[in-house]
Amino acid sequence: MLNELDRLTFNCIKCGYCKAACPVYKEIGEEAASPRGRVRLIRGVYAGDVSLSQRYRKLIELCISCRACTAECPSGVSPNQAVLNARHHLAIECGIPLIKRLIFRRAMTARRMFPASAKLLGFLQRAIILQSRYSPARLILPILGLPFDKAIPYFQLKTFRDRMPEVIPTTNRKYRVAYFVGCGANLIYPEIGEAVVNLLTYFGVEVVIPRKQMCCGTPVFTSGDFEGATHLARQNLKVLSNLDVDAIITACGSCGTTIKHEWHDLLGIEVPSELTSKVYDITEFLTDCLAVSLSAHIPKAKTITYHDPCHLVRGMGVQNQPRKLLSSLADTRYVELASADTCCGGGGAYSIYHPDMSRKIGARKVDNVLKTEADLVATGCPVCILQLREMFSIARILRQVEHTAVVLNRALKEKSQN
Amino acid sequence: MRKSILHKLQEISGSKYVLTAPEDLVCYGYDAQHVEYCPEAIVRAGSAEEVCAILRLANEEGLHVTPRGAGTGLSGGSVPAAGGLVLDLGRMNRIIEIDQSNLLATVEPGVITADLASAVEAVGLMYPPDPGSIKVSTLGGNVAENAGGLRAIKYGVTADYIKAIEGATPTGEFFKAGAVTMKSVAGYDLVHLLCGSEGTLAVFTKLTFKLLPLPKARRSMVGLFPQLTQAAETVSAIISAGIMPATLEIMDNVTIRTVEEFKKIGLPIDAGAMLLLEVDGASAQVVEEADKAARIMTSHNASEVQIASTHEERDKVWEARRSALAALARVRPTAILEDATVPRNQLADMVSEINRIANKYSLTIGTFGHAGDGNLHPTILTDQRDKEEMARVEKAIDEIFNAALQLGGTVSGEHGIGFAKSRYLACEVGPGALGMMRTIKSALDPKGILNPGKIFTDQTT
Ligand SMILES: Cc1cc2nc3c(=O)[nH]c(=O)nc-3n(C[C@H](O)[C@H](O)[C@H](O)COP(=O)(O)OP(=O)(O)OC[C@H]3O[C@@H](n4cnc5c(N)ncnc54)[C@H](O)[C@@H]3O)c2cc1C
Ligand code: SF4
Ligand code: SF4
Repeated sequence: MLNELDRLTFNCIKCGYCKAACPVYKEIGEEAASPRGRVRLIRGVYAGDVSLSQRYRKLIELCISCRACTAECPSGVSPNQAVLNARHHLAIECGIPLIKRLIFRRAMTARRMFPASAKLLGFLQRAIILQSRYSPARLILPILGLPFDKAIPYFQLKTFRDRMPEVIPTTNRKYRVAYFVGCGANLIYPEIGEAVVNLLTYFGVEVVIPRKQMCCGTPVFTSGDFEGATHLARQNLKVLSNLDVDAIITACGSCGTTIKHEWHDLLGIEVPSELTSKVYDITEFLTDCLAVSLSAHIPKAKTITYHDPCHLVRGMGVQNQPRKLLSSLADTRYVELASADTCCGGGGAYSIYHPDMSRKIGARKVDNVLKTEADLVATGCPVCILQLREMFSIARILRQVEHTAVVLNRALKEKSQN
Repeated sequence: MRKSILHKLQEISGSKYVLTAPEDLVCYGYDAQHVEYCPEAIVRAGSAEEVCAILRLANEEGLHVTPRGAGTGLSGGSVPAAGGLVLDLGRMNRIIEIDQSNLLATVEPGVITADLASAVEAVGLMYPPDPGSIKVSTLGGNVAENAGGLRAIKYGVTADYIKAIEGATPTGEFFKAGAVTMKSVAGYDLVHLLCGSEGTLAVFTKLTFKLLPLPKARRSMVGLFPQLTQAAETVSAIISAGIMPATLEIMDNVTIRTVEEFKKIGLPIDAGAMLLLEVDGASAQVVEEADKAARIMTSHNASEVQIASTHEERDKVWEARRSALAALARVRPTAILEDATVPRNQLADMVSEINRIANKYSLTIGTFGHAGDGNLHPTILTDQRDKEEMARVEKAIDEIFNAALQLGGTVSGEHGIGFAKSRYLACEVGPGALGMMRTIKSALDPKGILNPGKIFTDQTT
């Protein structure tokens, strides 16, 4: 383990390039909160001049895993990868806090229990009307260390996968693909799943939604639990390896990145390259494999902009495809967002553990969106949607935030009605 | 550090901005060179008043203070070699004014260089000094190191743009130096004494820079040469012909090969060297100068010359140069970047010397740099953990500096002396000048509290 920390940090030449990219450092301004600082601290744990103190843990946990540092590093160091390994090391040496252990270890790694608990949560939400901004039930939030006005996503009573058949056929079949749904679309935003399936079948693609797929493992390894994530990865790998499909489609940058890279790079699992090369983001598949261009218009939105999810742009390398698709929509103007590829502050469970930081980072995104005068922000990740909607809601600004697939699907419907 | 001192620091800047956790001390103990020293505390000052108060306190208590910008220095300037306090100026990061009619910009010292450059570009102006670290380094650090950059050959270095400085003397007195007029001879030229003083003579709290109008057009090109020395000779030929490129960079074979391995942009890995050149100015003049430079390259044995005609082609030209350090840094764990500089017409000799030294000590040295300024960056690729190899590295560095001095050059073109190069300073400037420097230092900082251990060899502790 310590050797791993050594291997991941010894190439750092301390040039500081990564500092320019880090959204967390930008807010705090202390060297120890910069990627270069974290790399030095992790190296210190290996070398023996830094201890596993509370402050160390805090600094390691403050990283939002946006990968911006890694993209900047001339020396091939990935501070982000080093941080994830440092969390694993912390988990081994000091354990994982009980609450994270319950959510990530017990609930998420059990195939049935996770959707079941989410459904239960969905039921409770409806029972105690937590959703309402002024619900007295919200008083519990500050006790849990969360802002009173924290947006809480509605969990679905019936998950997306429960509602769908395992195979959705198409006429005129060109391809057959598997759709890796991911927790966001399955439990919170089923409209993303519906849009993906609709778009694919419309363009002649048969969709398989493998029954036994589970969480990809991102939230689990992000909390330092590599063992739990490995368990998930192996289960998923079994499911995905035995399919007769041309591609594996994701509509969440984090799921895609994790399957394509992290199962191997982070967890050290042998993943056949035939499998990783088949993983496509939905916008990537539509543009690169189906050459889709949609000229239909979307109701209400006149100006659209696009926010790059960290893991979609830097993890999967998907950047032009969603822009190309969105610009091809008729009657809408596509405008580029300034700093489109900087983090929105969502970061999965990050917004729960570090609500203040999450909102500070998010506020910069909101400012940039306002400069575009766009009325709709498209993006490619459920967590970004959750975060951006919350940010607009607390700023009391009316802006639509939708998944790119949902925007395209709506345009398609509009088109077929005309 | 004593509790009572910490307490006073907290009163001055607020307890939130005084850091003493071991994790923070470790992180304020380095810059971009490889030697580290831990401070005992860090204070992140928020105003000129705070800076003055901190320095007064330091004088009363005999506390060492090391100013720090972004910590990208390459000579250890912001590393607290004698312990004590690190004074972080990063919080003071406001652009105070961009004065378009007088072509001036006034900023706090913690403003990131690239932030100023893009703010003035947005109104059609240019802040020319563009160090490789531009996206990270602060303007305070740039002034303290008199930073250069890729455009130095035509546009000069930070000293050519700094007009006025406000700050605190080592004893904690507030001062304003310089004038914002086009010219001024009111007393000693303190601004240019402080520019390049490496945080040893004053702490800056406000800086005023001169700006230029943005050039209308520019044109880039690359020339490939069978041998490094031919490329180096071409540099003098281009300048003698009256062409003043905005940028004129060189890359040797080791660098070309490494960049190609890392980026796969189609560089010829058997070329001995590459010159990258950009001219800027009025449209017609740019075309004419580019053609002329291309002809000179060809007549000086270039095997191939390509002029970039589109934006994409231009980006491609500079991508190679931008990736140079990156690529080299990936080869071995430790990359030691030097900045020996010689008169332009000695460039070819310096290049041969570096090659000879690399062979003599069996080291891999990639050389690239600001050829137009005679400023090379021989980059030694090594592994800090290998004691035997590091001993050879030390000897090679000694010889590189000696060679530069023999050729009438300097041990540091732009990175400063810091502690990394203090033992070479006396050889370069001689006892007379060194004596003057010491006298200035002790007059301004009688107790030796501001950034001790830098520039001069005998001041540690
Ligand atoms: C990859 C890379 C490329 C580089 N390229 C170049 C280049 O092309 N040209 C070049 O010249 N340099 C270059 N450098 C070196 C470095 O970036 C410059 O020296 C830069 O000016 C340092 O700025 P900083 O804010 O990081 O200062 P620091 O490293 O924090 O400090 C540098 C010195 O300035 C002093 N200082 C900082 N702020 C103040 C202040 N407000 N008042 C008084 N003293 C102060 C410090 O005490 C120290 O002595 C490069 C460095 C790296 C890592
Ligand atoms: S960019 Fe890479 S080499 Fe530079 S300080 Fe950051 S991690 Fe280290
Ligand atoms: S992953 Fe993002 S938040 Fe984490 S250190 Fe890198 S840049 Fe900072």
